[in-house]
Amino acid sequence: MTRRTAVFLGLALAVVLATALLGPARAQSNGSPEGVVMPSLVIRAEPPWPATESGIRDVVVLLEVVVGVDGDVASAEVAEGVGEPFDAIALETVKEWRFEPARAAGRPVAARIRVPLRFVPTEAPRTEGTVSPVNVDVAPALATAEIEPEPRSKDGGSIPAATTGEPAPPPAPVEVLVVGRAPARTAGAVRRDRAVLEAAPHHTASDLMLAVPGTFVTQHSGDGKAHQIFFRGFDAVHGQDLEIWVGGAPVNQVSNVHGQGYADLHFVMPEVVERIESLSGPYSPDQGDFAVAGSMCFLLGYPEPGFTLRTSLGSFGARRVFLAYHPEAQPAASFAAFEANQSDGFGVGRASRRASGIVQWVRPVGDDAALTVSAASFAGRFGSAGVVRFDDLESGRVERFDSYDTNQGGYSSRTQLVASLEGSDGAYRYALAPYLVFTDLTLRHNYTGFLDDPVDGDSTQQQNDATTAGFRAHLERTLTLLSSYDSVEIGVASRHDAIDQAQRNVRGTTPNVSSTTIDARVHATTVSGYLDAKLHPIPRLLLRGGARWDAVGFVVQDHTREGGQRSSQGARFGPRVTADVAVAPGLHAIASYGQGYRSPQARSLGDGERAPFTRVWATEGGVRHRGRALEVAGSAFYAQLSDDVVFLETVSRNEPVPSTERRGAVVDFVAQPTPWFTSAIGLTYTRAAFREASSTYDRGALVPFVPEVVLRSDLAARPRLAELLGRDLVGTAGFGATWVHRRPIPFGEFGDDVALLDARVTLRLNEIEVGIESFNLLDREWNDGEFVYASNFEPNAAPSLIPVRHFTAGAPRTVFGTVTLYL
Amino acid sequence: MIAPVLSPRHLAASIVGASLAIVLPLVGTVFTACGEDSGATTGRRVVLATTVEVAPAAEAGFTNAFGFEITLDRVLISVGELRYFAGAPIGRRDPPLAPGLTGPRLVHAHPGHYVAGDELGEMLDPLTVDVLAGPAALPDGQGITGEYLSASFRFASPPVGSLADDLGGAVVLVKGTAASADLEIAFELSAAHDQVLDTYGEPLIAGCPFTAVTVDRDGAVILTVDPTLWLDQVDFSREPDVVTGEPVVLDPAEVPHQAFVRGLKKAAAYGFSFIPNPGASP
Repeated sequence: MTRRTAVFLGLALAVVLATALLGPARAQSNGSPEGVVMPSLVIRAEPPWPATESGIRDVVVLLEVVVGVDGDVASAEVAEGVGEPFDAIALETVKEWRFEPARAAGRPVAARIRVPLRFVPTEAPRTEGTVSPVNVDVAPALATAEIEPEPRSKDGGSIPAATTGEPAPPPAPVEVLVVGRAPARTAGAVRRDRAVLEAAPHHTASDLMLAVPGTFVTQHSGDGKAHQIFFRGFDAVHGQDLEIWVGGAPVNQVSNVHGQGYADLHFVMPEVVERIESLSGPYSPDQGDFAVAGSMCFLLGYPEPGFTLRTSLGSFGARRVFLAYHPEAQPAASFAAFEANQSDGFGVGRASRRASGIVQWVRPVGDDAALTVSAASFAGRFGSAGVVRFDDLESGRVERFDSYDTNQGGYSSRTQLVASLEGSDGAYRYALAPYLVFTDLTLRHNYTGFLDDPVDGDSTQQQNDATTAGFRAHLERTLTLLSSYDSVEIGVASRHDAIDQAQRNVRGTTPNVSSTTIDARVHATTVSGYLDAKLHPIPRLLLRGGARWDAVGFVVQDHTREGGQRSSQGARFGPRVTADVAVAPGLHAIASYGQGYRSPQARSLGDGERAPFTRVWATEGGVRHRGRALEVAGSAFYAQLSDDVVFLETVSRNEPVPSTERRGAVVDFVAQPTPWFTSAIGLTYTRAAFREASSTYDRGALVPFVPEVVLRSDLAARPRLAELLGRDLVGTAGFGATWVHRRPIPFGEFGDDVALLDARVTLRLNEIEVGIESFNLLDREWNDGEFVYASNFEPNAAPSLIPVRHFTAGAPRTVFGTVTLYL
Repeated sequence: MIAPVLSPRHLAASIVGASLAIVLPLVGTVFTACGEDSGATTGRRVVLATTVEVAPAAEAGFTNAFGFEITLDRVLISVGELRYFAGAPIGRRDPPLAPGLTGPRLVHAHPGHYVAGDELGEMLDPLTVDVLAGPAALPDGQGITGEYLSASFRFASPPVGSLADDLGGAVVLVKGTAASADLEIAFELSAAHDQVLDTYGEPLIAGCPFTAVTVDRDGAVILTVDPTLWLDQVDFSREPDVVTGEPVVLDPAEVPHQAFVRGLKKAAAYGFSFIPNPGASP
């Protein structure tokens, strides 16, 4: 551990201890301080169920109110909201409540307390004590109260308490479960809801990740291959450092021939992503393989009731059809959707077409459980222009959107089935989710032209067909260990991947194979278990964490050599812990530490070799504040990897490099002051450097390709403009702006900055909506990727072996016109 | 279910706690942001100006192994690709730190093997130059930072440049006088592309010495051609029909010319060195 790491850890720990020790011990779960009498409710008004909402379950909004010395509600704000219009109605309703004021030493004083307001559906019978599967800390919320400073008259005396008459008997206690957001696991945890995700237009689900602070995605090899993901100082390439789950199934592919953790999200339409939950670092025991930089979970749903038919026409021959159905009486998680998409591409060799379908259904099982079943399928074919040399562009030999080899591109498909049972039984909560995934990938690319083979060229074809079966399960029990709301969760997960993979050199523009470098059948089995405890040792301090064990076994049948079967196995243990201090209402200081891992490429292992995991040690500290309309989080982090991989163009895949480290800081800001306005801004600064030297990399040198600064802003306004034909005319204007600064590339150089603006404008008159979307609205010339390596795109020429700069061109301005029918 | 607590002490503690919670991570961020990294990725691309010159000994006149005092009048060379490598040339290997104590020595079959290793720099544009006319500038080359230890020299064929025609189809032409006690002649020696091929059929001289240097910035590569090594084993007296005072074009079929061609293939005859640009920064 370096001195700086120690300093950082010490500071993070100091945050926790300082706020725990110095903060007032105000949360008392039982009883009141001596001489203090809490406010008691005198007049209670029930909140009306909103006319615009449907539902079969009670909804509870937790408010924080200040009860004045006169017993009136002096002020109120939402402590745990569920969104509009419930929050607004709750705030209006609570103003009608009257209390017997709190008393200290017999005198009335103002008090800040938390009160739940319960909405009961008008068409459904009231169900007391209904349990929802949503995870919320109810008890601590109800136990928090403060006495406001006693108001003084001008002469310094106390204001006499108002006469309230004979107090009414307090209402009978009811069992309340607040449906709201779970507390953030780490300081760097991010949640992006539909309101933010829909602010700017998005082509794919991968593009949605742009809304998560510290994320930048590019697509250097065609509109159909998995995006390249940069996340919090990591070049996750196609997913090697970012664990991704969609609808309960893992997206990362183990030992994919194109790259470890390959994660293709083209099967998900952006419209059906209800929420992205991002967790930084390996700080939670349920984070598994590839959670090196963090995890992202895509939760699916489609809230628009009835049928949706959307057609889009755009630049470069782009056409898209989107169909969806969501039963009105069902939760948004029950839906069916289909997408067909094709484009001629914005330059040579960039045509693409794809189709995908997703169905997800949620059904209650008994009173306290729900079964979610989903199926998704996708197939797509795409061309890839590949790279262009800067010197060729400057000399006029090629145009910006040209291609040296128009035979590049590929085909991919994915089909997944997921069933998820979640529920509770008294003090227990449980979940079991088996899944089955089939993936297929064929790629052809040529990064170096005729460098290695001056006659036939360096075209490479990769194939990876995988079948994945697995499950996740956990059981959580509420216990009274250090407090009455502690809990312990035990989880088990497993997956088995059967993979056929190959890499071949292909002659020129033909499909003829000149040599085979990889031809293997891989079986990879991962078995994991974890323990995750939630403890409250002292008031306002929450300790979460435990440990995770993973065992990975590989069997590789290498067809390129005689007797090429080999097997290996490895195990990994990783402790993870988080300390969360409630500094003030809504304000938390959080520090985390965790150890994670990335599994190795199976084909790189020798027989009997102990599978060499890439180990990561990570720590993070910061603060979060969440109010009714504003959420702000700031954190700093440090991560250290035992070894790493960096993309090597000459072999078209990632190759091992020495130990690396990341340092950085993230600021996240989300504002939703009104139901029709949303703004989210994320700013991330990171430094990724080598901790050890090799023949190719110096100690202290920056890790190539990782951008140091990523700024993202999403903003949308959805005002009701007028009433027309008896219907509301609602407008939407939104944009997403991305700025990427200082992208280090090999040989001491930096790629050009990226500044992009995507925007949309729509008008909706109930059943019909028209809109215009533009990507790269300002038509900025930008490079999707930049590389420095030797290449030769002239056959039979004496090649230069000195690295030169290459780029993959980013898309110019594209405009889409969209018409949507809601039936 | 609710408990009121608030006092000036608690309020102050809350403020202090909140302040620490905000300030300390920021301090941590400043610490972590000031890491020990170099601020850039490994290595750097460099521009390598290239100059060809003749060895001073050859310029001044010299005596070869057969006692001929040789004075050169013209040395034309068709210079092709120059490439610079990380591998050490034959004969230059690091001595052991402690002979006999550092384990088994690496044994090379005689005369050893040359392994070029990674290419670090190159100049790919051919040009015909007369090295006796003074240092000749070749087109700029390019490279990357690193320790340069060896190089390769390629004869360009066909020759390129304003002097190309003077070569008369050859890739190298040497004119001068050779004098001994009983013979004095004006000679002309030339070699064609086919005569300078290596064992792989390339007009390439591999394993040329590059004066060991760590290139860390832009600069100039100096190629020093040493014709004294070309002519060292040439016995002009063995040329048939040679007459004192008469100019002679050495016959490629005869021994003196073959000795000259063997001299052309000596890697030591092509020495490379590097001079960093004074104003360039590493």
